[in-house]
Amino acid sequence: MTISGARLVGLRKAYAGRQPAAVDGLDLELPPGGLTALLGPSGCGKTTTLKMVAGLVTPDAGDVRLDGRSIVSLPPEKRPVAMVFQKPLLFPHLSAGDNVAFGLRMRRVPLSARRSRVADMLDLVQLPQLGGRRVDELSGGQEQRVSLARALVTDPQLLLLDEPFSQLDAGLRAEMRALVRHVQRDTGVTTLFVTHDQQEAIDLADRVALMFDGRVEQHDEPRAFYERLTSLRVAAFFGGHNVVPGRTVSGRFACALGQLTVPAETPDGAGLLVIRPESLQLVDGGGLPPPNTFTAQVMEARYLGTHVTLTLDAGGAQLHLTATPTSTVASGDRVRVRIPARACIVFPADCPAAPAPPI
Amino acid sequence: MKRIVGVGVLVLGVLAPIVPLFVWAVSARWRYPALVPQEPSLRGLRLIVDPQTAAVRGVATSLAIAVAVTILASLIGLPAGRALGLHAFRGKRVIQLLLLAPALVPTLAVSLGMHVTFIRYGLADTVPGVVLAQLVPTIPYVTFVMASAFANFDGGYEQQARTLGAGSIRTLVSVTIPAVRPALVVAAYFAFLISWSEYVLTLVIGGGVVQTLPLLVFGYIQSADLTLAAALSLLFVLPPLLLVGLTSRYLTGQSGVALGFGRA
Repeated sequence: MTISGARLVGLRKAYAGRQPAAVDGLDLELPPGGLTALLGPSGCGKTTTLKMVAGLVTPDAGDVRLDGRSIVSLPPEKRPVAMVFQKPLLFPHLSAGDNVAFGLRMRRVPLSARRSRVADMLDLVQLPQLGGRRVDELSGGQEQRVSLARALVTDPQLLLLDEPFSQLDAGLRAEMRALVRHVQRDTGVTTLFVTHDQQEAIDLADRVALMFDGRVEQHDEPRAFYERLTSLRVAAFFGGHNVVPGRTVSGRFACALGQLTVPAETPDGAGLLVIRPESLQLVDGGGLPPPNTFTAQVMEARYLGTHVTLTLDAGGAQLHLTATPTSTVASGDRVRVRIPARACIVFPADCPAAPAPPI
Repeated sequence: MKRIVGVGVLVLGVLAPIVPLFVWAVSARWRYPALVPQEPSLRGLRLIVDPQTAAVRGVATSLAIAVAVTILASLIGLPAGRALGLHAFRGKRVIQLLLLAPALVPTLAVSLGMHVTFIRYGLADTVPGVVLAQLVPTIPYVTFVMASAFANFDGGYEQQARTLGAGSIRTLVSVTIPAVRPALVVAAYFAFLISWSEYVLTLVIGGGVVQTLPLLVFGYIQSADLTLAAALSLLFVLPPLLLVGLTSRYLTGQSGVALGFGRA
């Protein structure tokens, strides 16, 4: 089977009596064979979007296309789309194997073909020999694996996952992420994955679509959300950014840290400088200060094993800096800090949502 | 221990009151203070085994009506209960109140009102008319039992089935009905019982032409023929007891939620 890509075009859904619309003009391109994460705070319309793709919610406007063919008018059972929900939802009157076989039975696949296909699927999710188990004999992680196998058994062109691990504990979640990545590479099925956990999205996906208020705010590769922020809201959602108010005049940003060089294309006027704690660098004290440095007082140094987090005070502005674990800087020290110009992003000061306090 | 108590209650409460019926059914005369009847009789037995008698025809009529009512009430009450239990919608409370109405208004008033209408449509004095009339008390019963079952059912199971390729009918048959089966069995059982023992509606709408078992029993009681009334009563309690035996596994607290279909 050829691998299909999908496109969501101008999807819109407003629930009766509720304003604003849950999903409001959403566009999203899902590359063939890719794993796309649909990330956003709860209530931003992620699950509604997923259900519109699955056919469980009828959109008010817009289209869902698989390989250019519109599927928006098809009922859920006619769409080549499978979905795994937040809860495993295994049918309790069927065994684990019969649950996996459910989709095949609905497509009237003969019993012998069903058996071998179910065995393959249980192998894929690393649960061989468990087909005869009753559903209530499975652990939470096993249930979600069976649910994944059940969704994949009919060879869907598009796999939808709606926060499938949110009810599992942390260790199991990491294991399930690894499994999903393995299964997705193995089958090559185009996948759309809903989550509110940015770590999960960054870890798992090839592409991340960050959603706010029923729309995609930024759709990019995972590292772009750390390196090429497109708005202050995105920075606020990902958290951990330092934000310093100031004013730009022809590529120079005047703020509590002093005069800093920022990317040349930054427009003049009041702005907010956004910089990640990992981008700040400690520099040696001796000699002439290199460009774009400032001095700061260390308020707190927290050793966290893999790194050290410093809380700095620079001319009244509070900043966080992530240093290597070998750093011996202690609370009360004065340090010199460099800001690489290319790591600086300045947003206009009248941006709607100011970021939450960092870390 | 619990089991022994349960069986004890069943025997004392349900079976003990029936014992005198057995004795009466084979006696011609049984007066206080005698412990055994003074004069035996086979009249009662003949009434309930001879296919030529009104009793056996009454059983057939009663069974046909009760089965039809049970099936129709379940077919209507299942989707109605699903809607009430699963969804919030405008006018839900009004519908719930309307469903209670037949229980609040005296049956006699309801049946007299219906009779007028049924005469106009040629349904009075017919079996279909009686079936229709008996749907009035049975549909609310089934609907309420199903609504409470669906209130504990996670609608996500149906959505999951749909995304796995099951159309709405197959979802109903393969997922929803297995989930609410215990409640459905109980509801159908109640519908059967209500129909089986309905007297007023059958009398008014059937106009004495449709002779069900309760009508015959009342007739013999009124004519003070205790032997025939007792024999007929035995016939009358038999199907419900059989049904209890067949459905007891659903009646002892094993609900759909216990099966695992519940909302977590």
